[in-house]
Amino acid sequence: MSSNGAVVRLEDVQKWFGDLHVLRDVNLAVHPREVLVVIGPSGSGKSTLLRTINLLEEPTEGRVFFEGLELTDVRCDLNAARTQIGMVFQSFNLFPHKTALGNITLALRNVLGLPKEHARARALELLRQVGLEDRADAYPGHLSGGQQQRVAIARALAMRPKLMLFDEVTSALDPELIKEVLDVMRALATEFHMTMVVVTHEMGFAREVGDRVIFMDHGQIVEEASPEDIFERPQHERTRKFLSQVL
Amino acid sequence: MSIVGDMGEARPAPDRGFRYVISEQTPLSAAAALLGAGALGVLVLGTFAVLTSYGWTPSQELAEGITSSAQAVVLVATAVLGVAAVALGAGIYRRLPSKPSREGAFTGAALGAQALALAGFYWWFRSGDVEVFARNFFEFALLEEFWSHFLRAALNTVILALSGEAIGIAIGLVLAVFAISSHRVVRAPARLYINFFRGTPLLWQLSFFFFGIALGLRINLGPYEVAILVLGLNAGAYSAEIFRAGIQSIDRGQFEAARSLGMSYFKALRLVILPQAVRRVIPPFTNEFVILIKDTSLVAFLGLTFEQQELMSAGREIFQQTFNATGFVATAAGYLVVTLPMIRVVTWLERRMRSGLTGIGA
Repeated sequence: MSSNGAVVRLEDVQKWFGDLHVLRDVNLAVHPREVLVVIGPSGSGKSTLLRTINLLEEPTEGRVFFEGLELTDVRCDLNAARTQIGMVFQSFNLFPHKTALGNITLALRNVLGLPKEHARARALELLRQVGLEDRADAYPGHLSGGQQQRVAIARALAMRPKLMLFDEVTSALDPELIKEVLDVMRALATEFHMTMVVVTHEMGFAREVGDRVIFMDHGQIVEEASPEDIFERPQHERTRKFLSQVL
Repeated sequence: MSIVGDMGEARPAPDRGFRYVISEQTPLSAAAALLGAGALGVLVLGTFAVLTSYGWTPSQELAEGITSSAQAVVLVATAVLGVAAVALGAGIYRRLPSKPSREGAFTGAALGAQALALAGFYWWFRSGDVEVFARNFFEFALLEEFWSHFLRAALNTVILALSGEAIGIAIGLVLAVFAISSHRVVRAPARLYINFFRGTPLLWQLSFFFFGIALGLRINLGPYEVAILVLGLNAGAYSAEIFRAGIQSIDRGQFEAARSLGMSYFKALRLVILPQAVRRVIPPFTNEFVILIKDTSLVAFLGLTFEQQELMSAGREIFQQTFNATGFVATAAGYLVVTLPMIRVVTWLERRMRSGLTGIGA
């Protein structure tokens, strides 16, 4: 297959929303243990790109591969593939009718089919890793934004994914809560060597944790380089302009 | 009277309970409130005392009580107290020192006005031919022999409403899932069903399915069974719309989060969307159920057997046997006994959900 050992490969992906061309000729590979950071102005298509990887957005044209499996193939078992691709959202999207623990065990029990005690043990272990084991029985409405987002990360990790997608996960948080979420993500990258694609506005985090940075604008990948290169020596005028506005 | 304390001094949170409200009243605001409450009290208790002393049954004595001069005295006393309450309350309202005292004056004026309105209506009513009216509508002694029949009728009403609602929920859930499909060909039959049953009168549906389908096609179904079926089909259309609105009110991110965890479309619906939607639709649903309870009265037109009669047809049965409309008064009382608690439940649930205590809101 055309995956060449990459965890994710996008080939000539195009996406239109009606007349709006939101992804143009996107080609991309994400390698094992790599942290790929996607930056760019709002409306540049970076969230759409991320959502294309697990096919929450179906590309209008082009192909998406995950671990050599073509997700855009209609015969592909997308649900099985998605169990191996964790996703964390800007607005948390915790299930408000379930406790923190219940949020994590729901898919463990009903998708992976784990026995009740097994699921519970795994969920508690993950809550411990994100520092929230004492909040296991709290409903999302009684957790702070930062706590909710950490539960959401634990929920995704509990599936033991091979890839994690982060969609502006700190954008909805109050400034003093951002650090606790970034700390969890940093640990995931440096200690667990998780393969991650991170859409973010946190340039400090991108620089520190990212292995590779992609700058997107108008649905195109404009520039792709190491964090040092993109922040110190941006090659394109659009990249320079964007960085001068956010740094 | 309120005393403004020193600013800046640490104080416990003020007591805003009943005792505080009482302590804030001025003599005049208290007088207005008492006059208003007195007017309504004199009207209700005085009328009850007069009518009881004359006797509630037979209707002739009830009519005598209603037209008696003692009742007239009660009404005049009510009017005097009511006018005084309104005048005093309205007169002093703007000159009162605190919000609770103004509230007291307002309460008095409002109660006084209500007593005046009721007394006025009662005065107009008793100037008519009360004896004929009482004989036709308030002959409570007639009900005695129908008491057990009436209870059975109330039970039948509840059975019709509950089984109709059960069928309606089942149909409504399936239709709602069809109605939110992204495929027009799946939505279309659901829309057709929903619009047909919402767009035609229930009375027509009952007649068509009983006289048309059941009798016309010689299907062996009695009016009672057809009634449950049609009530269910009809409730299904309304329930479907309630469920659909509930499902669509759930944030799209919930569905995306569920799908990203590997859940199929139907698993996401069953485990994530529906549990939240069902909680949100409980108030409109209870409302729908109250309407269904009342709609069971239309079943009376199918001609039920004596044992099958529900409240409306039982009232009619009593009317046909006695040529007296008191049975219909009892019918109304029967419906209220069932529906009023339901209405209270809806109000309570809505308040609870608005205050966010249930942790449902996303």
